[in-house]
Amino acid sequence: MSIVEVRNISFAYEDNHDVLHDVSFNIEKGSYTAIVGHNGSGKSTIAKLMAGLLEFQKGTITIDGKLLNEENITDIRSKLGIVFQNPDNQFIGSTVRDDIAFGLENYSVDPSKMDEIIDKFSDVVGMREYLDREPSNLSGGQKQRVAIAGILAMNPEIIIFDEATSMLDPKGKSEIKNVIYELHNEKKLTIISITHDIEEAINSDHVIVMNQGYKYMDDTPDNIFKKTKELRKIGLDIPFTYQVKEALCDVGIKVDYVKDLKGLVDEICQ
Amino acid sequence: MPIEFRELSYVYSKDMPYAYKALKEINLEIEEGKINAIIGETGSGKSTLVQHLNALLLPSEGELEIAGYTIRANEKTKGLKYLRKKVGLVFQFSEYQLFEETILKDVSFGPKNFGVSEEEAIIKAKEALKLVGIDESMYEKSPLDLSGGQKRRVAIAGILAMEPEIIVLDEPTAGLDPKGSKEMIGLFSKLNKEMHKTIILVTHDNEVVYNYADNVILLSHGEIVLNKDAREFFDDKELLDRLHILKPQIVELKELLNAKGYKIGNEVRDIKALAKAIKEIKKHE
Repeated sequence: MSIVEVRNISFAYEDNHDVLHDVSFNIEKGSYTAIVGHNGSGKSTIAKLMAGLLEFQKGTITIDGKLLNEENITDIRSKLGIVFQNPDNQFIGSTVRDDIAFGLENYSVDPSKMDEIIDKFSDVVGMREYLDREPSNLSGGQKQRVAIAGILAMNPEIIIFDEATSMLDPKGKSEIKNVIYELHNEKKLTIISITHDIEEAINSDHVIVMNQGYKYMDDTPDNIFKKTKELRKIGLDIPFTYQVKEALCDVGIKVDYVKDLKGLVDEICQ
Repeated sequence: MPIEFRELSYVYSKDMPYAYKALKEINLEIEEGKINAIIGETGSGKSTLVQHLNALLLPSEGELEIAGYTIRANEKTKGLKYLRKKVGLVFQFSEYQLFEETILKDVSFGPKNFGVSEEEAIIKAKEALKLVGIDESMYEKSPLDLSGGQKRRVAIAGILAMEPEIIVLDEPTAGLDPKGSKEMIGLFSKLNKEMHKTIILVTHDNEVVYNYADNVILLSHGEIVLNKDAREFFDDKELLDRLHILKPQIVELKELLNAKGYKIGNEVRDIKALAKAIKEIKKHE
């Protein structure tokens, strides 16, 4: 079942040429979708459109059976959370607890239940011990985890990560990726990740490739990454294992499984 | 002349209750004319170390010799302004430092600040912008109209326009897309190979270190763990394991294959060479 249906969306910022041209795709409930493409390809714009942060000129977006329009926007926003790229630009509260509480207050959650909710979701992201700390003293990865907890507290069905790991160091990146995998595997949330991380895309269920405002490809990761020529044409990175597969093919050795290094090695050694 | 740190320590909030020693009696020689990568976890002291290179931070103890200057703790060094012309420092997320109305003005600010005439500053700015790949049609635009990657290139042009001998970059590719990162690293490689600039690069990306750096300097908890030839570093499996270094993928793949009885040597450094080596081995199976 599709939880997101994007149909023939076109979008332009004021006095600018179109940044999205006639884009359509579906996202299945409970799936992990990676949207990849260059800076300027329109991928972050799509995220903002789905979250109702920008108004589009043409087309329709349906989220969980509801058409995205002025009438439904509040309803839709409660189903869909978005985590942004810069961990420093999304804090309001003076403590981690206040920050998570802010979203709940906005949605008129019963104050007597708030502590329980805050404890629960700070636990999910491993930040419960930090509830009384100032957000500014946290590492980048910890800040992003607080942002995720704030969104989880709203009980969404879909979370969009808009390059949420790109400003983090390797440790912070892997922390956040693990939290995302957990939300997907255990909480069964629908994940939409706008990302430059090709290795993350390999492990998703569904990849959408954007190029210059057009949808360039829309398929399973394997079907996408084996098309190395098409990806190179638009200057996108090819995952390391697929590059190895290609080089082996050039010298006459055929391998199929290339999702991770261990599997690739097993196949080479057969 | 190499860059030399001698018994250098740096303490943040010195003489305060929460004083913090970020660098501990550092002894380090950085080779000139090379690409030197500084690696280590967040909080290991990398940024503190590089901010000493153009005297933005002054040592709390010990001394530093760089570009003909000796900077000692508790001693005033003359002419530090000109050290900053010789050593260009590009900060993390340098795109936030742009401030002028137009790109050309922003980039020519540096040379003007060092007493170069308006016309000459503009010539230097144009050369620098060309080097970083910013098109002439952009010169009169506001830096704020650019994409993140372009902004960062303008910020780097601002440093290059001062024609420094040593270029220090603190995580220059963080937050850029893969194409932007590659172009950025290609630029540093060119500055090093063609213009013989010394490059000092703080990075978390070991793929970049493996493919471009001549030397690796590893910091941990404010101390130098090692300063080594990059190839020797990545060829030393035991060392990498002991220090928990995230391995470049090709190094990891070679290791996994060798664990299965393949004998792939250190001379294999890229994917094509690896495929050939695998074929050779399979032939003799």
